[in-house]
Amino acid sequence: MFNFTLIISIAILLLAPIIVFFLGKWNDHAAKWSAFIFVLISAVFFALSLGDVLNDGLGNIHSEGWNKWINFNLGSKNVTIGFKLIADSLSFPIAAIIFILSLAAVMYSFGYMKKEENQGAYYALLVLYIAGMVGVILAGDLVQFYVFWELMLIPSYFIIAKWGSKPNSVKIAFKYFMFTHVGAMAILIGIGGLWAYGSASGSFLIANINMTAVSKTVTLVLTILFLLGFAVKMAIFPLHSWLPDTHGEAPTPISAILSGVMIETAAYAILRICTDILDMGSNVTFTWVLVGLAVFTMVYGGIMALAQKDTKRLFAYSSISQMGYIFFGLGTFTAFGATGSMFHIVSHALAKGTLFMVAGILMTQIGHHKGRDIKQLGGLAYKMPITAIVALIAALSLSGLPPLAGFMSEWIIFEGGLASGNPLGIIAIFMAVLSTALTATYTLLFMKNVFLGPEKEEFKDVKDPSPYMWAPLVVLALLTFIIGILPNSVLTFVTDAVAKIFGIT
Amino acid sequence: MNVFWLLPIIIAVAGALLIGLLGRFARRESQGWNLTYAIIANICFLAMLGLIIAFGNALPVKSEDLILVLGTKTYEKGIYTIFRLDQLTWWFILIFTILGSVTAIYSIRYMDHDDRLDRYYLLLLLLVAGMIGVVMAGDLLTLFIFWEGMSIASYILVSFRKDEPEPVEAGVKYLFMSAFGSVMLLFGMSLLYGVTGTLNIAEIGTTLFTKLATNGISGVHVIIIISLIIGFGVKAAIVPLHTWLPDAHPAAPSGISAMLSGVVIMTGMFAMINTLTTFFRPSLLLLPNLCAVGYVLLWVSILTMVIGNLMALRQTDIKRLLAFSTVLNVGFILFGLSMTLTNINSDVVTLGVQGSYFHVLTHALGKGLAFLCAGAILYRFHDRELDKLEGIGHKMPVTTFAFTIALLSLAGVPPLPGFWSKLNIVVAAVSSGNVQYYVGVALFLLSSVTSVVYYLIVLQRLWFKPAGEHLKDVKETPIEIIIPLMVIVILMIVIGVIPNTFQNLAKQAATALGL
Repeated sequence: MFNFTLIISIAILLLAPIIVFFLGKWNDHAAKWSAFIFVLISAVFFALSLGDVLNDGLGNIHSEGWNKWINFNLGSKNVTIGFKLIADSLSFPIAAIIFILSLAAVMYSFGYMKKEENQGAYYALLVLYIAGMVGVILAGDLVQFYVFWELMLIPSYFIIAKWGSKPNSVKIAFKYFMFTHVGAMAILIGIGGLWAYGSASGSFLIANINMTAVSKTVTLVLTILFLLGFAVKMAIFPLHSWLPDTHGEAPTPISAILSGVMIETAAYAILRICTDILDMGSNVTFTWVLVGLAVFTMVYGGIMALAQKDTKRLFAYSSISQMGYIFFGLGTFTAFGATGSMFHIVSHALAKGTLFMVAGILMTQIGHHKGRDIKQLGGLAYKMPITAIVALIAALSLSGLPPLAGFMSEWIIFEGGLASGNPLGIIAIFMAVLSTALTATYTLLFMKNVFLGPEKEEFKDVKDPSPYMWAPLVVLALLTFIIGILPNSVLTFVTDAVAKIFGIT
Repeated sequence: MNVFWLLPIIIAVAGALLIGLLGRFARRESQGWNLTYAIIANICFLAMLGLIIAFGNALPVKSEDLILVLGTKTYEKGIYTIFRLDQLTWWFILIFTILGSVTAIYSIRYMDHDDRLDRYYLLLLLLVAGMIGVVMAGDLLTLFIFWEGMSIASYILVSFRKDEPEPVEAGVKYLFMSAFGSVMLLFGMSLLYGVTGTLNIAEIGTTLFTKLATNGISGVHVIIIISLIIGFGVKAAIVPLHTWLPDAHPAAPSGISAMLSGVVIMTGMFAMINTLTTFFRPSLLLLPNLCAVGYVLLWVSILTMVIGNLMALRQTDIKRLLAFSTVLNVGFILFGLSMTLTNINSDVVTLGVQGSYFHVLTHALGKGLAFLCAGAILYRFHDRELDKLEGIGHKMPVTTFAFTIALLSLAGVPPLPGFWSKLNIVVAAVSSGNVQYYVGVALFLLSSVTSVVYYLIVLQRLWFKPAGEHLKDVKETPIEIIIPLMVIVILMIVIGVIPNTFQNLAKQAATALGL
């Protein structure tokens, strides 16, 4: 069945920024509500494709678009770039979590960005940024993927540089841009290589690329190129150094999106491109290098997070550590590992999104600098109960406490490490479990230092924020619960997609 | 001879003459007549643009319609003027005229502090007429005449503000270097005439082919190739002949900077590749040594990119920075075009040439828009130092927005047009199957990434620094200047969303090069 729901969804996200921007010239409220409503409408149109994803049979690709966006001749081989949007059992849950977290972040911005200038421009860029992320996930064509990949970068760069914490925001945004852009160049070369070696018809469509007959050396080089680009985005050691700065200094709703979903788009892309097309799991030595990097990233991120005195930088390092988990799951090249990673994208998005927004609430309710400094906070649970409860749920989910979502996903990832059958896997699992302990330590220390302890006199007027700021958090926390209790809501999709990629029927 | 096809040139020259005459009569009260000159020039440009778009349906024009025989003999070698109008030349003329029209609209308001505007518009029209002539010329004499007409107009336009030292100095430097180039060109052309006995470019190609096939390559051919590369290369600003460019382009009035950087240098590139390809490409299969020319051009293009980038990185003057970025883009374009003189599969060559021709358009729009925006900033605040322009985005958001689009497109950020043209060149290089191009394409992408550094530094200084005290009286650009800027912005977004249409035009142009 062919319909246009996905196209309409993306089109709304791409065109809405213009309207939002001009509404913002007139009135800030018009800008923020129009941004929220446009993203909501777009999400509804996207959700309409759920029927098709399920009806077509799980694991089948439901795609719409045009095969020839750009087409030029090269003798017998054409160069064809399509514009295809794909919703299948892999992209659907990831795109859905992007929509959920984005909607939460847009609504959260109502309160957080209240006093900022140029709100029209902010919301316009934010919607464009969401368009980039959704486009990356749904892209069915490699060049289109790259276009959206860069579209994800530009608006976020401008938002961070303009609305990030002064005085370093411009420098940090520049660092972010250059890291990601250089990574993107590696991806572009990789895309060129995929086309040159794997596409018999000259099409850039992912579905038309077949690398099975290509020599192992070429596949390895291409894999490394892609992984370079994706590892920058995921902040895998040693390409992580942009992340703590960027996530720490970005405006908090953007930090939540950055940490919650943007960096995970790279994990999705690794599964789509490196695992599925390039089949990099066949090279065992190489996969263990990846696992080594992943484990190191996990432990490194955890230890660095322990040392942080600043809430947002703490969560930023925690994101590095969590990306290590996801990379670990993907690096094992087992169905379990990949399933766990995809699941962890969802649970990490919910938990880390919530935690960043909690940090943002502390900043707005207490003070821009004081509210970030863990040493100066304490005893806030009595003053802001809703925030505290939400933060606790997210923190527990992040440290893998059953029955929350984080437990299920981490557990499946570790299963993957065991299932890979390599003796090194045991050591890797040890380290991974150790880093889970680290996660529990730093999240609980955060809870203790910020929310528990004696009430402080200076915070006696602190209250919970306006509902615009806590309502999205409550929704995210509820989802953490629901997904933890009913993991099948995500796993139905993910296991099926992964089974297809690994050829398990 | 059907004069109809020459109407764009005729209109431009006629408009120039009319403005010249009016200016002569109205010399004493010149200020009041400025608008009249501007209107005449704009009407001419619009008429040219309309005609050229209309020509698009009638291509290629039959060659007998474009031969002008001088004297009584119907045919004698050397004594006739021949033009050429096919998809290739049409593509370039279209780009020239689009940017020329926008510049003409832009100049109405931008030049309102200057006097002697009769000369300005006269020279602008002659500049465009010269460029169209260079591209349309089918024989070397015609080419050289229009070439010099274009060059002279551009010398004077560079030093149009003759009361300031910088433009005059830059204009003189430009004049000397360009004159040297012209001499080399004339030298090469006379050798060509001596070797082949004709000035018709197509005939030279066939004659040279037979001669090379029988006698092989000799010293005179090498000298011809070198003098053509140097002669056209000065205008095209390939390293190491680029040194005039960073002086001349910033010194000119901004509309002229846009024309010079966007399109005038491309005439050099066009003429160089067109002549070299016509003369020597047919012999490539017989004489593999000739491929060295292509590879030399490849490495020259890489050198051009590297030098352009390194120099641009250390500029503090916004227009000088853009000028060095032009050097970089000359390298990009030459990279794709250098394939014509190598023994790579001709399908790939066509793709590479197509990419370069498409990049000519995207660079003309991007760099043209960037210079026009820089000019719009200068119009309100007369300083080109980036340090002093910091934070001007708060005062002139619309102009800075247009500037952002221009620089992002030049940086090759999708989905703006600059990305598609670079992608096209990269795809061609990747499928070339040649190691030198593989290395080259890596350096190409590296240069592209490096260029992002300084574009981004400019942008963040304009947008994110707080506006200084000295900027407090700066207002947004007047609407007459915003309109041409927005025309290009919209055009760029359209090209970015539907690149295929424009890529097909570039493809037809590449095919018409006759590889």
